Amino acid sequence: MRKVVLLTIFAALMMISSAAVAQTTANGTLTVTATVNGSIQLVFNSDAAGVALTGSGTNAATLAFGNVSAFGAVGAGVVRTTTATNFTVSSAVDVQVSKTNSASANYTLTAQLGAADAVNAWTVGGTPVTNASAAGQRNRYQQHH
Amino acid sequence: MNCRFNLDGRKVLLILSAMLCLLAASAGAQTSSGQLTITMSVQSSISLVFQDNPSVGTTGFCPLTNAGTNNVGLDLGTAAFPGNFHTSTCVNYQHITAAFYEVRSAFDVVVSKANSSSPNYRLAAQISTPPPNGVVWLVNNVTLTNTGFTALDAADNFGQRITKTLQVQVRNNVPAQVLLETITFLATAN
Amino acid sequence: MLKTYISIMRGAALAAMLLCGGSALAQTTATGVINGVLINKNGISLQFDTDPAGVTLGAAGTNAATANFGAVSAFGPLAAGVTRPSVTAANFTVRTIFDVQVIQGGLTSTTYTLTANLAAAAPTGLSYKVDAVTLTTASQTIQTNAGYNTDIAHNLDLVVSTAAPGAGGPAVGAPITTTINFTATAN
Repeated sequence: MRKVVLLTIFAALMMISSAAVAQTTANGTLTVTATVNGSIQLVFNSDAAGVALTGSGTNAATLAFGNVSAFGAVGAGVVRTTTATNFTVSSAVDVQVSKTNSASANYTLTAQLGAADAVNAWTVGGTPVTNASAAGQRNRYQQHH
Repeated sequence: MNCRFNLDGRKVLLILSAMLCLLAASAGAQTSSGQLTITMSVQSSISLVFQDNPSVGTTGFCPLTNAGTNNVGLDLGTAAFPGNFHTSTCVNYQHITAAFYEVRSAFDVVVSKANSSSPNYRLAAQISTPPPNGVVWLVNNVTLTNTGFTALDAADNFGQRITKTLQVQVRNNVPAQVLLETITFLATAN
Repeated sequence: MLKTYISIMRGAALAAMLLCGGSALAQTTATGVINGVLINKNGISLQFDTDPAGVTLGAAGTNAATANFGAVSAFGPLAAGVTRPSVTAANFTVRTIFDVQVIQGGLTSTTYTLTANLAAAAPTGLSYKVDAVTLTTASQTIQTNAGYNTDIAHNLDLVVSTAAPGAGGPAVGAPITTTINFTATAN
């Protein structure tokens, strides 16, 4: 009987001892998943010979020709040619396209008017542009136009 | 030799009657009859035993040791506040507040009656020792104390299983230790 | 004399009736005891929770959660909860925020130290940061003296090389999975 009592006490002490051992660390795993995709970016930059852009360096810039006329003064960076029937004003604009995570060697640049213009004719790099369809040309990355 | 007999009147009559009976028997043809009057007082009684719930082994219904008796054991295993840690697969473990966890298990109480016209009984319970700070023992959400019986039910039916849930609520600052409590259930016939 | 006798007998009869009645109304009781045992253990646990500003974690509230950045690129759209704090010529960083909550019970410790390490070497073209600490396969301390029982937000940055696949950049178009191990140690 004495042995049984001692055994019981020992077992109880073992349980208490085990419970008293603090578990002072905890672990966790965070599994992180991502799918990397290639991407390209287009920004407009002010050309040294052209009109300074507002919002240069972004993909939403503004080119303000200012007051234009066939014979009057034009703003800095504006080039004008006048004929008997019309005159043309132009400005150089840089387009910069960057690529990441891509083996693509070059890109196609297209342009299109945001709204129809029944009075004036617009060209980009000599290519007429309208609001009807995009006109384009192939270019290399990170080059200015 | 000093023999001393202390006989009162009834004993003397009894002895004489016995002697007469013996004499009559020895006479052979004579008969005699006797009458033994038995009296007793039947008392009504009730008994209380703990039984495993029919759902024993499933979550929330741990097996009792010595089920079917009025002295049983209920092992709730090992548990801790962090990580919803508990070793027993039959207990219900949950965090009941931001600082307390609870372990619970249900069992059945069966109270039987004999020689009683009592229609039902009331049930109360009491713990044997004051629990450590941050530890609460309950039955069916009724907190138990060691200062007196706490009423659980007012009118339970005899012979029917009454399922009771033993709960232990432990605050998260309670040091590691064995929480042992003897809960006495008292059934009183109404 | 007779009156006295009758009176005594009446009293005795009444007492007997009372006794009988008392016996019939006896308060019958029964008791039983349950010996309940629970071993209360101490320790700490760690779980990941979704931060309101981050991606929704898979298996949030556990210690084995997942964070999916979805499709990431230097210039393209990102999933909800993912931001792109920087883009350079060499790399871009995408970030999400996740919460770590460490819960303690039964200890006197009031703070913990959080460490983290990559389960395996980072895939080509990628590196991982937690709160600006670049992770390696060796354990590094992320936070000391962190408080228990509350969500603590951590930045998880994925730094992606802009190089093309095969030229030092990461594989593209397919999910890349990395496991980060975290350990909280009670101070």
